[in-house]
Amino acid sequence: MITKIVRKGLVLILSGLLLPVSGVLVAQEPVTSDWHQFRGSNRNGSVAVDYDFSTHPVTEPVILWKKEIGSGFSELVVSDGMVYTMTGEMIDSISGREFLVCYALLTGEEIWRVEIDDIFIDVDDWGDGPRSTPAVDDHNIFCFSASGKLVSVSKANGKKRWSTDFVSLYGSTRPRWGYSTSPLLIDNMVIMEVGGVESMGFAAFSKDDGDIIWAAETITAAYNSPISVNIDGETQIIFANASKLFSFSPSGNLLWTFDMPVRSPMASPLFIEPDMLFVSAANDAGSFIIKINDNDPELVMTSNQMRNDWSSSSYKDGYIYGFNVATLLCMDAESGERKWLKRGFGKGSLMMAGNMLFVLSDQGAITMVEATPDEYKEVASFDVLEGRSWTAPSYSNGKLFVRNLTHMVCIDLFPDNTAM
Amino acid sequence: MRLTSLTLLVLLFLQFTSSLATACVSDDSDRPDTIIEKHIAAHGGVEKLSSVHSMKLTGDFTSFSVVHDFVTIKTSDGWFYSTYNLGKHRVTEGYDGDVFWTIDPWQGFDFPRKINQVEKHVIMQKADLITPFFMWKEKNYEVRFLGREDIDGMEMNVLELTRPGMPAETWYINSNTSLAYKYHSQWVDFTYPMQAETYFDDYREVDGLVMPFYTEQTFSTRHRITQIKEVLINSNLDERIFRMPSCKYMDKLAMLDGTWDVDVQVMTRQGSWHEIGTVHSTFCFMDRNRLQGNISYDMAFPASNDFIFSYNKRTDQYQLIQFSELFSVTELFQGSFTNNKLILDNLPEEGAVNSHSETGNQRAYTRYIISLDTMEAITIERKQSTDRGENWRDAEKLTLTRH
Repeated sequence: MITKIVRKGLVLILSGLLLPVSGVLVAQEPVTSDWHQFRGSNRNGSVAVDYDFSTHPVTEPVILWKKEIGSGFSELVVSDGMVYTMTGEMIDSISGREFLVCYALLTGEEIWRVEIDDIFIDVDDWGDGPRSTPAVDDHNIFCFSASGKLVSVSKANGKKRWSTDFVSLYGSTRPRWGYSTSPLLIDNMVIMEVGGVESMGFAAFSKDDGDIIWAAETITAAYNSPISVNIDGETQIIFANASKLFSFSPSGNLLWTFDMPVRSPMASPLFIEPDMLFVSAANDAGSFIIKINDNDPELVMTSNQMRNDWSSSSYKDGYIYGFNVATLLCMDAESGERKWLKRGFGKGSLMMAGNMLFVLSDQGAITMVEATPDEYKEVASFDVLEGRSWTAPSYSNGKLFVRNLTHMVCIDLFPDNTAM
Repeated sequence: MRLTSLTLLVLLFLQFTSSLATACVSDDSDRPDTIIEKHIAAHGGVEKLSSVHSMKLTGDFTSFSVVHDFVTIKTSDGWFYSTYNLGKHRVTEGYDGDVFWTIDPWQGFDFPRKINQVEKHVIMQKADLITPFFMWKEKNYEVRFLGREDIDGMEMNVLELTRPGMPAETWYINSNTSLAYKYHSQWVDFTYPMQAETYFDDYREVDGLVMPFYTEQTFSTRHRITQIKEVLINSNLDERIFRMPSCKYMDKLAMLDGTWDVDVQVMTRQGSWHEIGTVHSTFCFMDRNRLQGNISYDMAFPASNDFIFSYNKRTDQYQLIQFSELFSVTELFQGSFTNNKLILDNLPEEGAVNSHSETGNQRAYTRYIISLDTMEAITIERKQSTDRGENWRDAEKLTLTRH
């Protein structure tokens, strides 16, 4: 307990103001909100930073720590000086367990772990273990196993609070490659794609006890995660499933649906403020944008330039950055025109901090690329992992977090706490 | 001097023919032949490419973001062999000039199978020695010039290539280097056609040949990278590697493949062997997992029997389908090897298709014992039982001597 407080204090100190040096303006270490859920606080793979990476390049990132980790595709989420993720570990050749694990942000040391479910074994050998990313609020963590157990765990002591099984309780069928939906937290609810029978397709569960608050539609569980958006002052919960987009109010009322020109997107829908949604799938149709006006969606753009597989895209100033299968691409959101492309990352992933893309190649290299439509502009590149790396990076307070099936790494982009 | 009308006419005529000549002697850089000529030269030239009879490539192949080794062997005749990984599965494919085949555990086949037309097109693309444009006319390919395009800041000559009976491919040849930058073609995923885009990079010279050491391909959601590490030109090859392997279990029956003199003996009611005579028979593999033959002779009545041997992986048993023309009956026998003897019978099993012949009130079952002791002589014995296999009596003996 005391150790945790000291560690938390160190984080606060390091996050504090920096002194100007030699009369040259030194910006504060970029202060951002924690990355507390799948794709960050806004579920869009982006974080605003008080820093211009292009004019003040990061020159010597330091690997703060690198740790072995169990198998899985869960992102590393950050909250209050702790890093949370889900991992899987084999006990023998045919069985194992999935865990929610808490690590100290500054050292990567494991603080606690709690067993969530039996491990999911991938028959196609893509990688065993959990796929979903936990969501963290002020007091609790909500995580979802690859075999369909939604579990709440206390942040204070790592104890399970409740658990609900989608397969046995709601008749859901586990997708071939395991459940991948990441929990979305809204008010006192945990929003999930369930895929259950008898109108248990989408549901809101109580954060307090896991009881169902509302449920709607009958669909088959797939690999997408819900997002929440604010359109005209109204919160809408968006699901992309099979060939349809669904929008619900927080109280579970169906606001609108839209028949998508793409099938079964695995990449997360991307909200473009104030009222547009970008969706992409790896089948031939590619991607599209709808504009929602008074709960009436209208198709405004289609493009075959961007076909996201499981790696989601990010948006900045009229342009979308993402992977066209295995090619990094910048696309004009209005016209669907390709601005530039760059091969060489394999089936990589990315996140955006300020005006910088942090691209993780599928072989574990991080490349910093300016988020500009003018041209592909690489700023820096460094190897951090080895082997198949399919989980998108996360970012918090000047630190980049990446993982794959065997290791996780924390990269301090500002080791001297200076920004020049 | 006054120009006469005739002089003026002549001058005009000369001017016209001069313009016409200039128009005829135009830039021929749009002609496929010209583009391909430069393309072949960029790869090392006609003489150099003509000297290549085979090529063995080894290196790294990346699929599903995991790197494994690969081996590819190709010949100037279009023969092909390759082995590589898809995930944890080792895939092998080949073409011996006659049969296209694959062993693809990724699709659930851990035994050789023939491939469909879409898959054949893919093998043909993979089997290109350096470039498909080498001797394209002799190969009866069709090539059209589609124009010039700017691709990724480089000017490309765009050629459409069509192999006989196959969908067209679009090739982007760099106008500056005359080397291929990328091409679009039909590829295959789980036997179904997909559109693919393939990029070439890391061109290097090997014994005077210029070839891409790096290939990156995308089709549907798939992403593949080939990075060559070593190239062996005209190395010694064992041609058997290109042939579709037989089912390994059928190798045990391989000595039955051939032409035979067959001595036919039948057991009389008196319990002695009666010599029918000698007939000719041929057994051969209809595909690598089916061995078929016919033995016909006169025994009071003309008797013609077709034999089809195969191996049932599901039941781990050898099977014999026998069709008797005389009785218009098809019977199924199953069994296994004991030492060098294959013993097959039609004794009833739970759920199995059963055949029988009536002998009074007793049902008769049949057993074949095929003794594969030597390459030159094989014995096929037919026995019968009326007590469900407790006792077997001789019925017929076929002694096969290689013709």
